[in-house]
Amino acid sequence: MTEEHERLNKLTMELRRGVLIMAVLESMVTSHYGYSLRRHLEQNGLDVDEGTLYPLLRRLESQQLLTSDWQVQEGRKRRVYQLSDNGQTARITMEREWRHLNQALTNLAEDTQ
Amino acid sequence: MSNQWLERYAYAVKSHLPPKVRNDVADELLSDLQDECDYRAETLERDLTDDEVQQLLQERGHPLLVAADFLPRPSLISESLFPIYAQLLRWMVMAIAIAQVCVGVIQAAQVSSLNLWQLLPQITWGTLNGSLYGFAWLTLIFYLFGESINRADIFKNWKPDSLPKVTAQGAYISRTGTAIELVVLTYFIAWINRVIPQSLGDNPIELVFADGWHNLLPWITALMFTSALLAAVKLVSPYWTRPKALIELALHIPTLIILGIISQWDAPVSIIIGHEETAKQFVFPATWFTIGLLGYAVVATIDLIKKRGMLRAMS
Repeated sequence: MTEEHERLNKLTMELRRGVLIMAVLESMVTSHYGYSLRRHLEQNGLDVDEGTLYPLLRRLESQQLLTSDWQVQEGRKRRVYQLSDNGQTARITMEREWRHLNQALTNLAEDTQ
Repeated sequence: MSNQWLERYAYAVKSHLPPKVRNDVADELLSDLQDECDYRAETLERDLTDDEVQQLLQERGHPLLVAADFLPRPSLISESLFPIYAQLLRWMVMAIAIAQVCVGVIQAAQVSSLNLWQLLPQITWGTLNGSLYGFAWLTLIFYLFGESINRADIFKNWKPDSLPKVTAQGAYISRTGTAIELVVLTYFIAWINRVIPQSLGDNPIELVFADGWHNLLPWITALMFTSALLAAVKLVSPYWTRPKALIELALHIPTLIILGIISQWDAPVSIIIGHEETAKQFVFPATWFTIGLLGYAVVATIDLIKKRGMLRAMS
């Protein structure tokens, strides 16, 4: 039972990993700092732990999909991320691909019903 | 007071990070923790106690693990190149083992007496030692140049013509078995042709062959050499093909003939143990060779039955 649970958990994690990039790019249409992004994702039904989100933000920044700068907000130093031009292109491309995949999956599900 | 715990935590994470990103990551982490504390305090409508702050840090995990999430995870061998790396590693170990056997045989040929118990560990150690160095070098090469290697480029000249024919289930050739076969055959060719001494070490033991062996020696050598050649081919491409199976089956015929001839002799081989005055001679009777001949005939028949099924599957 535990093994089965772990296997399913791994599969779900794999699926979420790819979707998370898309979710972050989508959320970054408005600028966010790490914590506000995490809250934003959580409020929209995507619970992401810090150990995943912050390294991902850095990775996306190193891939020039995001830009960041330090700002003082509410008396606190925060690193604020924004979508770059490359990120905007990637967001549109990924969204298109997502719709395509979603449609394909819907078709497959209909075929098997 | 609670901020002190957060700062201590961020400081601990910082110590596990490379200098380039250290301050940046720690500042962002501290900011995140402070925001989380504020959020929880807002929910509870009071400040967090020390215990609650410590509980939050406990949830976040050990600083070393938190820092690890920000560190790159380089791999020595990239996932896409690993099959090529593993194949090269296997070929390298086999090449080193063959080279060690050859070196061992040449060295043994240069001394008057052969000490098998010295030679075998020497070859084993040489193979292990060489393989370890080879493993390190190959891994280093893949680590240094792996990024610039595209596996599609390596096989760009590959053509479907080179694909092996589909063989019966389980008809792939065991490389371990073939490697042992090759080593034994090489050693036997060297031994029977006196490339290495036929006496055993410093012990006063000597094998005496019947005169008839002299006439058979070229045939036995040719047979063993063909078998060794076939073993080498099987080692390089370890799957059965029609020619390989047929050649191996065909080799049973001269082997049976040679064993048949030897079993006709009175005393094909005898062993002399001891010094000149006290020497004792033990004769291996021809009956033993007859039993060997019969045993080999059984093995050859089983092999024929097995390969017949395989040949049918390949036709």
